[in-house]
Amino acid sequence: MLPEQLMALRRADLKTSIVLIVLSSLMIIESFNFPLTDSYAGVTNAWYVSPALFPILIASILLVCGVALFLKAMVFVKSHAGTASSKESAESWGRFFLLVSLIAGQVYGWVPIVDFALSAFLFLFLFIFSFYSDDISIQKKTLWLWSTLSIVLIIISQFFTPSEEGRFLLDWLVVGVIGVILLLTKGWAKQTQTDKAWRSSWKAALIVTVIACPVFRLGMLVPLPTEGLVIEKMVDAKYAVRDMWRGK
Amino acid sequence: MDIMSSFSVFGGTLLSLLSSPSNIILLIGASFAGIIFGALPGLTATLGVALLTTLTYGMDVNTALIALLGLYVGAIYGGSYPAILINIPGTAAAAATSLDGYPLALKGQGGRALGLTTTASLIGTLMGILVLVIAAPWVAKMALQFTSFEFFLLALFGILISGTLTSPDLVIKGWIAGLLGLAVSTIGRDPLQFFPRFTFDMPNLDQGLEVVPVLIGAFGIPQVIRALRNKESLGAMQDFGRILPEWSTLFRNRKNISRSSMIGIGIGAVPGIGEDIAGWVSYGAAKNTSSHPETFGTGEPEGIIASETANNACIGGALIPLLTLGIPGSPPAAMLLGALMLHGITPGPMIVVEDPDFLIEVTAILVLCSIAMWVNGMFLAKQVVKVLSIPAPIFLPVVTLMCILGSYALGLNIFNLYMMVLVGLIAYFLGEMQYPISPLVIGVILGPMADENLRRALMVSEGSLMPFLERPVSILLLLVIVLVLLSKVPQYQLVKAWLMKKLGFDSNKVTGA
Repeated sequence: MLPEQLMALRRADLKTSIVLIVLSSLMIIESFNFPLTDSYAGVTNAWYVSPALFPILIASILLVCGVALFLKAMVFVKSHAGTASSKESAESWGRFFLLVSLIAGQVYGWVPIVDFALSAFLFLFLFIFSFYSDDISIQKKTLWLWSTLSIVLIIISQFFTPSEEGRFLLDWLVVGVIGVILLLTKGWAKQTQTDKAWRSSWKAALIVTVIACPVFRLGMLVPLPTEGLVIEKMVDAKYAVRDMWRGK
Repeated sequence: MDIMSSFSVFGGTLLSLLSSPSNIILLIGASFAGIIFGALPGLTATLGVALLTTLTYGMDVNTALIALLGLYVGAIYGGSYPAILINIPGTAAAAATSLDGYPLALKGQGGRALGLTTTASLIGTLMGILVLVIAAPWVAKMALQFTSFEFFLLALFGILISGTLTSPDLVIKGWIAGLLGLAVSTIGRDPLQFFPRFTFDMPNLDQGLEVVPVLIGAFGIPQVIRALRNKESLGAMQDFGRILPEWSTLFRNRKNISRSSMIGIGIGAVPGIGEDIAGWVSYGAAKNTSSHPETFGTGEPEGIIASETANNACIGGALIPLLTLGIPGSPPAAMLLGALMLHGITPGPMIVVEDPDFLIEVTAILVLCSIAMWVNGMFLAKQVVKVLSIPAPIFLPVVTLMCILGSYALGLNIFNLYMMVLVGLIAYFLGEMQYPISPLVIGVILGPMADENLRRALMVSEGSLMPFLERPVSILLLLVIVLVLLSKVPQYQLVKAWLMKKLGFDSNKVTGA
């Protein structure tokens, strides 16, 4: 490891150790709110039956380790004060924020409220396109677009409880958003000459969605997180075909 | 159970599994999927087993084990493909294989290298199975004598040793990771009084965190972020001809194979450390004992055979503590433990009493899995290589979607997804700061066992700690724990060196430094 990298690591250790010290202290304080003596299987009012015993033990050792790490890191940082810390490039951080936004946005924003097939397609398309095109401008635009849409959905799911009709309306709205995004990204692809990546992205996203949703919902009978416009129609179609097959 | 009845159970299981065409298709399919999981850089055996666990939920235990073990065995072997063909190990277990595999491929002998890894992996897996079937009943019988004191210390030992041996930076970080896992395991109602701990009045936390979404988050999300953030690029794909087993080379390496198998099994049996360490240790041992160590790193078949035999032998070794003590020997075995619990099987010493045939059935399934791996390796290598050409920005988003579906499908609870992402991000940052993830995961799994057994032990002794120092196994475990801890204290090293000097030993000569 280069000296700059080691210095960056030890500086990070300093911060982590503080987090650990705070976390373990809070854990100990919270554990003291649990019954400190308890009774079980004939043993009455004994400290060793307490549900606080194990958390206090673990948090105390964690606290000691946190302090040890802090001291170790502090000694290193002080003795190598002249060494600079290595830093990740802005481009690398940009990719990181995009990845976090895509994954967290999908899980916290889209999955709880939008039909899974629609959200999965859009998620996969933007995820694949932004990284397969490997263009910073596309990644930046995708970050803003996806984050904004996800935040809107989080607000909707937190402050409103959409009715059945409301959910279907939202799904239709998402279909429209998908269309707009496809056109928008096609424009980005033309500007950056990444048309091939755009085509591969929507094809891959579509193939995976078309395979994964029926396999889980119809093959393995696993209900998907949100079933709306597409998934419900797919399930209805399955039963319609089954009834037709049975001659009903 | 005598040897004859064991053989009859073994044969009966083999026949019943092979009599079902769907089982054979599943076996070949899971093994192939495993090879692909191992071969694609960024995916691991642990993640493969984690994702497949969800799909096996509706299957009976034996069918689920065919899928899970087939994928496990295949994935450990599959890592050798990119290691040999593009100089990027598909899994950490195959890292040592690339040292000699890639130079051999550059010489136009990629097919030969793949043939050697395929057969060495088969032999390694079979050796691991052999030791598993011999050792497991003995270990389980011994473990039946264990009480809460031993089980608490065993859980502590597993977390501690895993933290000590897997930490890439300071040892204390490995211990912190294990302690964090234990801390996470205390969330939810406690196992004895059902008192809610750290639930903050959230009903979703009452049952504690579900193990499978935590594992998927800990192993899946960091891999995706790391691979795409760092833009991990692949080397130029090397051509390979026909894949041949080359029995003569393997026969010449019989000593190397035996030694590597034993190293793999031994390392596998130690809780929490897995195939990657086995591969490196075995490679180092082969180089040190070779008559021509200078050829290692230039395309030496001995090196490939050593690392591939050891990493696959590790599977059998890792299953010994898993099946007999309920303590996973490697990260994929930790995931396998989660899968077994999901199917209502609690591995541990009682398994030989409750289901005496289970060990033999697992052995039979493992034999089938290793044969399936060999068949896939010999005949479907070209198809696996085609998958390697899929760019990471295409397959990693798909893996992320599978992580989401897999985490949701088990409990049908969106809260599990929230936890999966949170755990994934924490695991990513911990990984970036050189904290090992295996001790954290083992801590989450073994936490309830440690908590319950500590309190039960103290109840038996009425709060006295003396039984920890009075029971032979307990003393042994305590001694090992203290030695592991002391060995990492600088003052202990100084005292040890001083003592060695006083006693007339030259520590430099001893260590070979």
